[in-house]
Amino acid sequence: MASKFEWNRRSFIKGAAVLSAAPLVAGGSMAQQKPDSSQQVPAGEVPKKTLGRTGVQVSAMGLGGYHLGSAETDQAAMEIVAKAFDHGVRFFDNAWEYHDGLSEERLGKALRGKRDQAFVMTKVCTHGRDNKVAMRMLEESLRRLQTDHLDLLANSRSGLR
Amino acid sequence: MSVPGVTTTITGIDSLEVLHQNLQIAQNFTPMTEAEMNALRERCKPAAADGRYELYKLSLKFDNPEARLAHGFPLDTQQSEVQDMLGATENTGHPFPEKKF
Repeated sequence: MASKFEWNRRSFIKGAAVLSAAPLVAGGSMAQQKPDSSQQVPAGEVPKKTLGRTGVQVSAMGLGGYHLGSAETDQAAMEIVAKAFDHGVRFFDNAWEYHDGLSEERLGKALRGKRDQAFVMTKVCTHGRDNKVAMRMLEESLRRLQTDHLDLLANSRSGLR
Repeated sequence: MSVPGVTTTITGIDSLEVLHQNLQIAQNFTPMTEAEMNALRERCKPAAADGRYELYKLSLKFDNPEARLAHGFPLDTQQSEVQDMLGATENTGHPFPEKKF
């Protein structure tokens, strides 16, 4: 029992994800897809959904930007994005502050030649500082992401108008 | 991914191993039934209910007054934790507090 409470949040969520996929879906299509850590992923793509009322189709699974910066090497991050893309992942999250820009730089590099097929979001987090800060962050994000536009910009109290 | 109204579930992936695991879950995904969702909620309850793994959400120890104001969270100066937090910003060169209470 004690070891159960030593889980960190991530391994707990991993556990929860495995739980949702395997034992609770007896006989369902997921029952045959018991997640494991092997290199084998069945051919196919993650499903697409319409984002709110925008009419824009995005993948039901999005790739988080923060952990792209945690990947051991640039090369590892490139491989993650490439393989995710091959399996239909089209939603790519990021933020100006993740890993001092490394997350955005890696995503920008990894999406070269694929930018028009990807839905890219990032975030500014100016916490009430003036608009110039938000605009500077936005310009920096665009440069790192090697793009001239974002599909979604999340904005935490920037005062941007 | 089974929660109604959620379009995309963003997942942190720092290795191919994690990517493979997540793709296996996401591909051909079948939403859980309400009964399955409730069973999962019950199973998570002991770990999630008291927030022991999410102290950053519960404790002001990880917070600062400027961030709370920026996010529109209450700043009750009668609370001892808030007083500690405000005290910690004094004589630091930090711009806060400018706001008068």
